[in-house]
Amino acid sequence: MSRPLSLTALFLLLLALGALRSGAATTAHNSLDALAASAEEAFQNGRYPEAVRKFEQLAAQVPDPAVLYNLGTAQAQAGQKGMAIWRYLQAEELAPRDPDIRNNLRTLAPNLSEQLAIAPVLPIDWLYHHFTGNEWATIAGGASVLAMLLGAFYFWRSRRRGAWRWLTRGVILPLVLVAALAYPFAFTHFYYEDVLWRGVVVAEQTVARAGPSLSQIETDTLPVGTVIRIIPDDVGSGWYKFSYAGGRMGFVESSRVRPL
Amino acid sequence: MNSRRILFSPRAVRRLRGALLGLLAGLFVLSAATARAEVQFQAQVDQAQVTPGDPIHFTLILETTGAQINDLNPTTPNWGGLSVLGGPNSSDQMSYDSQSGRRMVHTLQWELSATRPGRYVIGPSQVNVGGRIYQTRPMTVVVAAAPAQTLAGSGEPILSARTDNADVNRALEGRLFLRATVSNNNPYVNEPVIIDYTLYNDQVRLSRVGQSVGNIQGILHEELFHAAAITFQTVTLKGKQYSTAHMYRMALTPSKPGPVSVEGYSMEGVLPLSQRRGSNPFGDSDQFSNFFGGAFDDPFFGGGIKVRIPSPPIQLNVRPLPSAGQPPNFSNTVGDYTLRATLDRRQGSTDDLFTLKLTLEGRGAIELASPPLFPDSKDFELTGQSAKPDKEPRSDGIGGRKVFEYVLRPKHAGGLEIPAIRYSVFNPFSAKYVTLQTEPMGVVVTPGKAPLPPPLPSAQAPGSSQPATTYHELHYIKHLREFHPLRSDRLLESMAFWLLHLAALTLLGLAWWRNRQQARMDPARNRRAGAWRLFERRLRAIRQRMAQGSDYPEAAGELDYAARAAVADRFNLSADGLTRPDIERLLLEHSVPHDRVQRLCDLIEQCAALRYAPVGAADGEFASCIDEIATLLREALQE
Repeated sequence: MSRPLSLTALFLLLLALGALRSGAATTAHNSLDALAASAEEAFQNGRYPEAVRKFEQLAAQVPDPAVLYNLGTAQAQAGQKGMAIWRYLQAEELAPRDPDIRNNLRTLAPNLSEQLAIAPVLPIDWLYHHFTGNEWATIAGGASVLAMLLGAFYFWRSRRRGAWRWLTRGVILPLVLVAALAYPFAFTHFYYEDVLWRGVVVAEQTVARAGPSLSQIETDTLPVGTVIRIIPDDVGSGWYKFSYAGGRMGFVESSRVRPL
Repeated sequence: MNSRRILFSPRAVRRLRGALLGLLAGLFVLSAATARAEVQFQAQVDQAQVTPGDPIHFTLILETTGAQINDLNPTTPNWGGLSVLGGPNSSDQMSYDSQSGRRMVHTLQWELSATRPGRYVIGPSQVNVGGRIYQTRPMTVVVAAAPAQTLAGSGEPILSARTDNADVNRALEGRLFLRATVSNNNPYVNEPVIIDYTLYNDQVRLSRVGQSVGNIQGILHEELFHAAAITFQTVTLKGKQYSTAHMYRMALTPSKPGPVSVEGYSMEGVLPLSQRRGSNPFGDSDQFSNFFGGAFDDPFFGGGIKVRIPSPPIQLNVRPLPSAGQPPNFSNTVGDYTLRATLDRRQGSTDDLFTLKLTLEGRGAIELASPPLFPDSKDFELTGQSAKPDKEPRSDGIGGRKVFEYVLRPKHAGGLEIPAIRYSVFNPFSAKYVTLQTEPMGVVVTPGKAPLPPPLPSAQAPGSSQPATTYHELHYIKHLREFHPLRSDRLLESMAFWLLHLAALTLLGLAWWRNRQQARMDPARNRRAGAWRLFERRLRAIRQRMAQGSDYPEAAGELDYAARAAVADRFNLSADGLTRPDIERLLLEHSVPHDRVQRLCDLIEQCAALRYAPVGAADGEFASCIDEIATLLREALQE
């Protein structure tokens, strides 16, 4: 095969692959749109279990906070209050400033904010919950990288350092302060969301027990929406060992809890 | 073409085939050598027959020969009811000889014990070596009843401290033991029992190193106290004097009627032995010396003897709650309690939620108390509830308070009433059922702005203990026009995020290093850059001397020099020959405004003149001169 012919064939092949991929993406997007429309229609007509099922399919494919919010709302209307709280918490983790998510979460679980508080000081708690972990990391990383780059520029222009003193005082120092404020928030998000294993009680009439068995005595009742800290301990399948308010420990059936 | 012909010639093919055969033979030999690997996996116990409290050492030995095997993890066997006191302690030995190859011995050892006589079977352990499973045989340990030991003259059974040494054990009999005091051997179901452990010591020197509580399953237990240090008091028991120390207190709450046997508290310690002749853990030297003779001089005993002090199992006979007189709404709460109700406010609107707090307080296993039922009410519906126990140890048992919170929503406006709440408990102290009751509470509710919620479905109507969901307050679903899937990947875990930091830090470091290098190689630049700092330092010294009472003519001379030197440093010139026209020219060339230059030069000349003024004549003038020169110079040097 001559070289021009080979190049033409390669070009056509790439074009065909691109068209196929674009077509596949369009088809996938259309199917998602159809699923979303179908789920919304089911919700609007009061067929909540069907809406839950369809929004769940959608959420499995697209981790969009709006999808999770709709799923939670459908679950709440279908009487699955615990599952709705769990979905709202997932949505809030992705979109913490969404007023709809916050309203519905506060309506379903009025005491949840106390359980999720990281500090007794209101501004700290508000700041922490107002941005996602990635947003805090972006603020911290952006400020620190910019401060370092400006610092490098400042040292590079050292022959006229006096003239650039405003850069140090007016820009670099505030950036360093912003980074110093934002990093603890970013790492706290990381700790609470990735390191610490937390769960929320989603089933009614959930009880804590003294051991990992239904024959063990009940030590407490766990209302729906209770946030517990799951202790990674091999206690047998179907059970979580956990701690909650006041440092108490107990065991709970894993099917009644969803990890956050 | 030539090389291709050589590669595929019959001779080359034969060579290639020979090489392949050789490689296969080598692999065969290697696999045969590996297959020759021998594995032995066995379990051992140091004593097949012991008495209660004696330590038993269980050892797993895995020996491999001729194979290099890593990550050997034998499974932990089922202990068959024995308590694990310590372990596993692991050790590895490796040797090599030319015949059998590499030999590895991997050892794991546990320390076990039993508090009751019986026949105990330790289950098999398994290990996977090279894909093959090896298993040990079950080991049987017989725990024979020890000769009955009783507290002197009382008949109360005791378990004396045990060591690995039979002679020491004999010497310790009746001299070092734990005694348990049970608050009630016949409790009711859900009634807590308090157990105190006291160490009794008859002149034995002891260092405590640890404590443990036996395996307690199926019964709620809680530690109430443990002694951080041993503090002895002297008591006389049955005519014999002991040093005693309160070591541990726990609460057990049985949940089922019938006999219950619970393994108790135990301590581990060391009987300290010194190298000094005649020094032994027993206060009376004769008895111990008779057993050991000169053993204390042996360096082997230098660290002391490990001792375990067990306690006898606790036997309880749990009584069921009486069926006679049991109220119909009784929910198994046992204790001596009081109930009181408080409301967060007595006035509000239909938009408000009211929080009713019920506080249950008293003696008993408060955490097991179930929430009182909120009764049917024509005025309020229940929208949520929670419970917070606040347990506290008391001198007469355990107790505390548990606060149940009920979130209530008014159904309509007007003078409403929160109904009385009844709660039945069983009081084990009077052995009677008691019904606690709160008083009804009146609340004034005005109409709110929001429309009243629709009536709840009957399944979630008020009166049921389950909170109802307020569907009408939920915001509506969002219309999904386009999806915005957010990355849930953690940025802090992203390599690119930290690489960016590293790159910026590297740039910063390079720039700083370059700056340092330039500073080293260019003293004139350093002089220019440091002109203001040096002036400030000189100014501080002048002010300090003035504050100490120095004459200002001298200070004026120093200020004159400092100002000229600062300008000279800024332009890399000598301060000595710098005249007013020079200063004017230099500053004007560097865009310093003319009026400021003139004023600065005037002030410098004024300072020079003040050197010759009478002492004390121009104090104020000089002070203002210092400040003005500093301000003007700072502006001029930074232009």
